[in-house]
Amino acid sequence: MTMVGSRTDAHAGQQDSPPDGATPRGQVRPRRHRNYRRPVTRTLWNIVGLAIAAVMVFPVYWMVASSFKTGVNLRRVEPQWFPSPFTFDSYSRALDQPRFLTSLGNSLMVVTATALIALAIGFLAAVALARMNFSGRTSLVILVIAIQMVPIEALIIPMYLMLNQANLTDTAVGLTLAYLSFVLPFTVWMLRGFIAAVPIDLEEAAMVDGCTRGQAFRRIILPLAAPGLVATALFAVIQAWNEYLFAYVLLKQNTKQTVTVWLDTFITTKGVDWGALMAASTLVALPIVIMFALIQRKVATGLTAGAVKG
Amino acid sequence: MASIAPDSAPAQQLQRPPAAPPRRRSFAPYLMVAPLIVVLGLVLMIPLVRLIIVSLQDYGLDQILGGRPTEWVGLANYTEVLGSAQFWSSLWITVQFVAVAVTITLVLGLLLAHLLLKVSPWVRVTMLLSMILVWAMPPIIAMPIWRWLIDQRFGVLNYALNKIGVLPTRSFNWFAEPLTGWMVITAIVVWGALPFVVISLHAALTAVSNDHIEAARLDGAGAFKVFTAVTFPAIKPTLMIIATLSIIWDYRVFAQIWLLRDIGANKDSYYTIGIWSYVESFSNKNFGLGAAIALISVVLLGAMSALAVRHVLRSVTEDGKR
Repeated sequence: MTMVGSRTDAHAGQQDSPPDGATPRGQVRPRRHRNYRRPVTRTLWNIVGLAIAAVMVFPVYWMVASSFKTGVNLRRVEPQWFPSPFTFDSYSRALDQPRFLTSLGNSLMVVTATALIALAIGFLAAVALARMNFSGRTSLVILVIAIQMVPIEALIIPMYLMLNQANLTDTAVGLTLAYLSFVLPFTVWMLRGFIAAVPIDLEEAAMVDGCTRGQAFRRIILPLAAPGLVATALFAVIQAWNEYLFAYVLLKQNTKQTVTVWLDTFITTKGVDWGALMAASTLVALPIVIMFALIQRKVATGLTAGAVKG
Repeated sequence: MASIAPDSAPAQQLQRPPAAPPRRRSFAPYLMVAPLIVVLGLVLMIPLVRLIIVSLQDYGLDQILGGRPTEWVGLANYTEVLGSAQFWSSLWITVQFVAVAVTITLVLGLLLAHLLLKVSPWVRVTMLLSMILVWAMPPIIAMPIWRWLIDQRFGVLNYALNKIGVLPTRSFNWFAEPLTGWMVITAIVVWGALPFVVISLHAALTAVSNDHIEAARLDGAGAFKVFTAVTFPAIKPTLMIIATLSIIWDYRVFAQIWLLRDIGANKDSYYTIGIWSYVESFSNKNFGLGAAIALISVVLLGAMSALAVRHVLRSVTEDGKR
């Protein structure tokens, strides 16, 4: 118990007081006092924390568990908490649906294009907004923030009318343009924050040591902001992948559907084949979850990037 | 705010050391923001102008398919919107929903972020993993999942709530009454928003200096006093950004309502401004009226989050000046 306590202390103190072991002797007393109290309350907090984690995760668990159950077990009066005859029947029923792979491909294409374009444009602008002084900078920041308040349903009307006139409905290009309208402002906003969070003192120090502005940027800002860039890319991908309304309105042909719209048609056509529906949902969620898992550590670092301060 | 003065001194120094390059900056920034401005103009500004134009016109199926010329009707669409009872009821519904959902999200988020600091490392990792898993779920997936949870015959949530005596019957129809229907929608929205809020606030909390907290404790401050005097000022910028984003996101909630409200009757009770605008435009093909509703909605959202946005802007311009 004491070991756990002291380990977290070191962890929590990390950011602001690196020489944790070197604290003056006088400070040891209150700390020991807290350790004495800790085990009981900590166990209590642990139980609360685990209960909350369980409640949060339960809907997801229930989706996956239901997708492996047999039809009979899905319809039991007393819910079956764990799928005991494990079956993939629901998955084959879901995959039997036509156009699943096509819609997956459509989503992938639009999402990749949107994320790449948003990152390239957003990064350039974010550097200028975070690090450079030019007239019109503040108004551009205000514009970027204000634009995020435009509800998507407001844009969908003119976007539909315009893409309709340009014959771009039912195309990946049209949908990518539509997606940029909400991904780009968010990308610029996030990137600007991550770049601004890198202490300007470090950059100054590098330039004092003889770096050019470009070198200082490449060697100081880029590495320190890298987790933020990854996190932003991830955000862009996820937002585009999860989008439903634009795809629902702009894509009329079945073969052009993105995977979120495909799932929706599956709900309405198949009604209440809950097993197949849960299997399809699991399959649609899987790519996003895998991406999160691969990159999860960097997301956490990216989010705490503000802590680099000082 | 008081920190501007000491901060601007080093900013002055920044310009000095590199004597050669600073002249170049007059040109480069404009090149760097140019692509952003072009694309934003194309996908946002032009559509917004078009939206305003359409809201002043009679624009329906005849104009889209029949090639009939559009007819300017002035502010007729706006007077129709503001004069209809539907507008005021959907506005009231929207405001109530945003206020309740944002409050619950922020309060729960703060509590959970504090809890994350108090638990053992392995519990913290477990909690964070569960949050990240929920965060990773596409919102559209939440619809089938929650429908399954509250299914009248086999829903496990209905089963559990009936077992502990909250629900009178297992075949409870949540969408029979607007109140319980909105409870489900709010639960889905909060459930989906909480991970982002908790993880961001947790990051902000770990950045709060432990020495300051320790010092406040030694001075005899209780847990609440430590929060108001030390923790809250330190996480305030993060909290303001999260609050602003939450208001915007919850105001824009669409799919959660659109895909669930068909379960029950009382469809009108689920008309937020966004839903109403969509129905007028794409179901009734009355794009002029839909555009007017959408524009009024944009202005209202601006007013609602103006206060929070001003705080964000102030912090932005401050650290930009640094």
